[in-house]
This record gives sequence, structure tokens and C-alpha cells, in this order.
Amino acid sequence: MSELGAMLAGSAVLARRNLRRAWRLPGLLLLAAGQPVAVALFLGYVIGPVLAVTGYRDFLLPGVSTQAVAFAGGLVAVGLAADRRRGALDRLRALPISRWSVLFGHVGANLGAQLAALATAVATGLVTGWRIDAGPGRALAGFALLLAFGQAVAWVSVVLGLAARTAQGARRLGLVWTYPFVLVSCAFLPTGELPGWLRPIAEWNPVSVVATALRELWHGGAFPARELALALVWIVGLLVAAVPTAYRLLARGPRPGAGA
Amino acid sequence: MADAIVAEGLAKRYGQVQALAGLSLSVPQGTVLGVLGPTGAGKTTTVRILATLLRPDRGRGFVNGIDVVAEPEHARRQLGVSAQQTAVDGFLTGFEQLELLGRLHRLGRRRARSRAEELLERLHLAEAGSRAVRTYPLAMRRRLDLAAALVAAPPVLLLDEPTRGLDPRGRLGMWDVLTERVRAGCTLLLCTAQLDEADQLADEIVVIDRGRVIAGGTPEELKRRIGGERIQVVLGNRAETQVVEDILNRVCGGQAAVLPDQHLVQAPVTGGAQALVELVRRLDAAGIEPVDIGIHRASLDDMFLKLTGQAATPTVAEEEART
Repeated sequence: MSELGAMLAGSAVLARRNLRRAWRLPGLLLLAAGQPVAVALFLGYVIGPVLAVTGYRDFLLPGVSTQAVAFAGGLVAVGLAADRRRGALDRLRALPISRWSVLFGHVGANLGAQLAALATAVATGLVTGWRIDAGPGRALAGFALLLAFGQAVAWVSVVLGLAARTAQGARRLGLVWTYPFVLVSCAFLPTGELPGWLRPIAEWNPVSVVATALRELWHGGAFPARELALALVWIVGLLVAAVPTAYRLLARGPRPGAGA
Repeated sequence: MADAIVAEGLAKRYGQVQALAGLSLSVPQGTVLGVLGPTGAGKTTTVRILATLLRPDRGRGFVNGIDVVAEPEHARRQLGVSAQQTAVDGFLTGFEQLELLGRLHRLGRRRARSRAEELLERLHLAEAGSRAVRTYPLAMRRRLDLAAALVAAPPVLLLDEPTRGLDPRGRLGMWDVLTERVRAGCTLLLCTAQLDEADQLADEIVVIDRGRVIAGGTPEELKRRIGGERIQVVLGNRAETQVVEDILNRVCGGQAAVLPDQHLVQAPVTGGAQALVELVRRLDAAGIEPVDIGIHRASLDDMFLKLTGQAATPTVAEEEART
């Protein structure tokens, strides 16, 4: 078997292990799947009617979908932290396997949580009467964009999870770093509602950029080439920064004395 | 005989703490080296460096001649590692855990499964193989952790306190398995904080303290150096002290000492069990009924006191200085 083949086979074996964990300890999966439902219903039925935003449902659902994959992507840090704490990560690091397999095993299994989150977000939308206006091509492009964004989030979470001093820090940091991005963004509210000094931050925030591209893809008129390009720049940028860093951190090993 | 494990002048510092300060050791192929030392002496750091999990600041390490710093990927093929924590996945069954590792070692599905069955059988886990690991008691987890290290049948095993926290029965079970591995030709680096464990399993022992080796030799040599075993007799009647001292001197070849406050007479001894039988016979003949009688074995604490002039257990202040 070639080196690449061995790396991919190892990744698949470890992704399956991590999916088993997600399935047998389903708390995280339920959280990933339940969270977008709660957010969509709360904003749609409690906050939405108070807002003077026309077509709020079409504004909200792409935003909820974006934050759903961001939230689910952050969950990758929880499994990673558990592996750090129990010494499982050291066991894997002492095996004659590629370190990429360890990383792809975690990020690959995390795709399951992202799909679950996205599915419930969309299902909640559909049940409450939301529909994608665009044709199937643009609809699918939207889902691809979301999953690509989820991958970028997951890799950043892996970096934070490996860089944190303790396993518990890894869990917290990897999970919550997305919250400020989601809150100071146009995921739920138009940035016009924000104080002036926050507006530029909110507009350039990757969550906003992705949500905007998604809204234009699903509900807009002309093909949103500019918005999409901007979103891709963010996604590729995050991946280029995070993926090699994650590898380096795993090779060096989590900080000493932080095993317990 | 070639050395299967070699460490040369390993040094590692964590912030203020010098975990290793030029530690060297070597383990001939097919033998067991006991690395004996208190918590914080550098045992775990040594294992982590040899297991390619940690880079040393200075020094070199080899397993079967392969440099663990320069060629970690190759070194890992020689190694089975079982660390202090039991690194097994609670959400998997014992069988799934071993099968997973077999697959990662690229044994193929069929081979990975039969290997998992075989190891469960050998480590007396066959009945628990289909249960989730989180239901296992500690002794079973430790055995599974060892099985996990054995999946690829590595020629070199690095074990960091494999019996820590086990009850006497669990400890004996683990010792049996390790002895069997050595008979099968494995080379073992066994870190332990228990003198009797090193005594039982190791061909040679190195004693480490503060990141360096402070003594080494066969278990017999070390025990001789620290005084080994003593026979102690506790008496109910202080008037009998003199008689017992005489008897002990005869049985043990002199050196009997009396600690009157504790009603205790003791003497150093070699071949303790036989001397004990002889002593009991003579005490009986003399009509003396001791309150207690027994062999007192030198502990790790005794050894440290003797070797370093201080207790093995670090004081609170030292412990704080280390963290």
C-alpha cells in the first residue's frame, strides 16, 4: 500500500472510531442537532415578530444554517480533549501511523455532527414554511459552501484544542471561539442594528461573509460571484493557516504536564 | 548481547523543573530493566522520550539501534507502550479496541480480529471482550492497556507503572503476563515505584532520583547494599529479651540488636524463610511465645534513605517546587 493509501486507510479507521463515540455517547450529537432548532424557533417566533425586517424568515434560515455548522464544527474539540485527557492521543502518537490520520479521523467524524446540525436547521425551516428560492444547482452550492466552512471551523478548533495547556482548556477553547464571531455578525440580525463601531467588524467577520453569500445564493437574484469569492477566501485562508499548524502541534505533542 | 534499549545522557527541562538531568541506561535484548524511583524522579519522562512522544533537550535514545529522535517513525515499529494512564476507549468494547489497533497496524480485517481474540484470551479478558471498556475494573483496564501495546507483537515494551493502583491479586496477574512476554523474547523497560515489583521481574535495576541514575545492579546486589531483609521478633515479656537475642545471633550469624522500648529484637538475615523456620523451632524449644515474628523486607523508602540520605517521598515544599 502506498503511503497515501495507508494514511487514508488509517484516517477511515479512526473516523469510524470517533463516529462510534459520537453514536454511543450521543450527548454531543443531540446538542449539535438540537441547538439550531432552538435558535431558529426562538428567533423566528419570539424575536422575529418584534423586528421590522421584511422577509425575516429568508434572512434567518441561511444565518441559522451558518451558525449551526460553526457550532457543530467546534464540537470536534470535545472529542480531541477527551483523547488528550485519557492518554488515547499519546497512544495514537506512539503508533507507526501518519499523524494526518489522527487529524483526519477527528475532522472527518466531525462531518457527521455538521450534517446532523445542518439537517435539523433546514428541517426546522421547511416545517415553518421556509423554502429555498433558487434552483437545485445554487441550492447545492449553498450546502457545499456551508460544509466547507464547517471544515475550516473544525480545523481551527483542532488547533486550539491542541494548543491549549490542559485538556479541559482544549475543550472549552475549541468549543467557544466561534461564539463571538456568531454573535457579532449578520447571522441573526442585519448589521444595521449594531452600534456603528461594531459594524465593520461584523461585516468582515467570516460568519457574516458566509451567511451573506448563502442568502444571495438561495434567495438573491444574480449569481453572487463577489460574495462567494469573499467567502472562499476566508475558508481557504483559515484552512491554510490551521491545517499545517494542527499537524505541527500534534507532532510536538500537547503541552507537557497537561496530560492529567 | 546487543542492547535493545539505550538512553544516553537524556536531559529534559519543563520550565523551572529539570525532569531529566543526563540519564543513561541500557537494556540487553530479551531482558528486563526495572527503573525504580519515586514520583517525580523522571520515570515517565524517560518513557515518553523513548516512545517518541517527547523530544529530549539533550541526549539520545535508541530502540533496537534506531534513533528515536532522528527516526521516530521507524522506532515506533519496534515499540509497544503502556503509559501510567490506561489509554483505552471507554465507549468501545475490549474486542473493538484491540481490533481498531490491529487495523491501524495494518493487519487487515481478518488478522486484526483473530489477533484481538487471541490477546483477549491470553490476558484473561475473553469473557469481557464484548463489554464496553468503561465497565471494566481497573485491573482489567490495565490488562487491556497492555494487550493494546502487544497488538503488533513489538520486540520492545516500555511500561510505565503497569500495576499502579492494582490490588495484590491484580498485580500478580500482571506479573504473570509480563514474565510470559519476556520468556517469549521481549525486551522490557519497566518503570515502577515498588521495590518488590522490580525485585520480582527485573534482571537489572536502576534507581533514579531527580532525573539521574543514582544506583544500579542486579536486585540481589542492590538489596545487599541496602541491607536486605531483617527478622524481627516482638516479645510480650521483656525478661526474655536476652535469650531471644542469643538465639537470633546463632540463627542469623550475629548482629542481633535489641530495641527495648518496642519489646523488639531484630537481626539482618539472608535466606530469610529458612532462618525463620529455624528460629521458630528454637524459640519453641526454649519455651518462648513471641507476640509477633516475621521478616521485614527493605522498602523503596529504606533504599532511598540509604542511597540519598533522604526520604523517597518528596516533602510538600519540594513537591511545590517541582510543579
